[in-house]
Amino acid sequence: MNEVISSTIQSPGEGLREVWGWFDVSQDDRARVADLSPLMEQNIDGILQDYYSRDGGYDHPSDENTSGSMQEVRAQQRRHLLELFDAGLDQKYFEGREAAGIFNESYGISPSFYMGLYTYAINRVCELVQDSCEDAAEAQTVQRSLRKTAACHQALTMEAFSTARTEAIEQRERQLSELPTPVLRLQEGLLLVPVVGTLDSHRSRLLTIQILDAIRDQSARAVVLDITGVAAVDSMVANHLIQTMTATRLMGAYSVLTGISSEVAQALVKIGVTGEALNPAGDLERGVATARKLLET
Amino acid sequence: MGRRVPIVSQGDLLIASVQEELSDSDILDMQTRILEEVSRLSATRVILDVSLLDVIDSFGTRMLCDIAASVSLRGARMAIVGIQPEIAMAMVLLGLTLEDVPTAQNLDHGIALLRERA
Repeated sequence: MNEVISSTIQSPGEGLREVWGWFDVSQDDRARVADLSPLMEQNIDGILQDYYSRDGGYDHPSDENTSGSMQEVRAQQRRHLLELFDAGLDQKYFEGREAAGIFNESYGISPSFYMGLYTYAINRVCELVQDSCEDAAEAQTVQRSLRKTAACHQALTMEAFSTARTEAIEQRERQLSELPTPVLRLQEGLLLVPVVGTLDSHRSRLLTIQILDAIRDQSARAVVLDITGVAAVDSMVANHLIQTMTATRLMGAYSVLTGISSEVAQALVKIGVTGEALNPAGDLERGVATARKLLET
Repeated sequence: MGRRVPIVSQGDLLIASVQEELSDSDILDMQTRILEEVSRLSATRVILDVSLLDVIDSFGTRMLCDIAASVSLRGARMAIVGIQPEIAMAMVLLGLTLEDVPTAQNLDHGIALLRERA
């Protein structure tokens, strides 16, 4: 009997087989869980309903108040729960877990809430199994299979969740680092460049090109580079700043660096950057004054 | 070949203005001619105008430094004017910063710069 069932289940992908191995989920376990599928389909709506209408189950228990997105969340949860039972061991199942993780991340469903619902649902199904099975030993075997499979199922979803979260953070960091830097014209021949965010090599290259183009287009003779908004300056960032200012000088314009905080100053000294290369001037006010003086000469 | 970089003089001021992209031998030729002119006209100020140049290779950037250094050995001061953004970028990335060579945006500024430093 088991052979027949396992032959109907597609063979898992290599990576997936490994995960099943970690959780000690055998083909028999999968087959037993798959047998529970009709039972689950019958009861899932009741279980979900009970879960949400319990005291302390969720903040918005009544159906009337559930917004569109909440309904979607519940529809997804229903689908994800059903997948636990009817999905094969194939790549499609694995992708389903990934989609569930990404869905949770994007809808802000916390891992605890997700785990709570799943544990609740699994316990309920175990009760149902207990009631429907006459043989206590068999019921226990089925329950154990179900718990193992569910643990694996949850782990895969959590892994996808954390991957999606990491990606979201990385994307936000990228967006932040790509903030455009305006090159402002303070007066004829004088440009002001307030740098905010993180300076990496890509962005500092863009910044340098922007500044140089502005110098050419507006025949600027002095540039004030303000780094008040740059949180950290390491040797690479310092190098980029020096490169930018050297390129500015090659174009025949003076450059003044302002907004060096005490932390940044200490860091710069530690990595051996002296003041001369950067032409620093205390704060923006003095920097602009210095630049104006340079313009007059 | 020497026609590619016209060198004009005005008093003790020499102005060499690069008209187009130069080959390596053109640059070497330009260097020789600038140095000859400096001694022939006993010029004390030299301006190299590169504003029409928008591409430069590592040899070219190095030669700009070399020309400035050799001019100063002949007792004249040299300024480079009209460096374009692309060239400035390339020079910085190649690590050639022209520390001792004054630079200016255009001919006017360059002349003023050399007069100041006289």
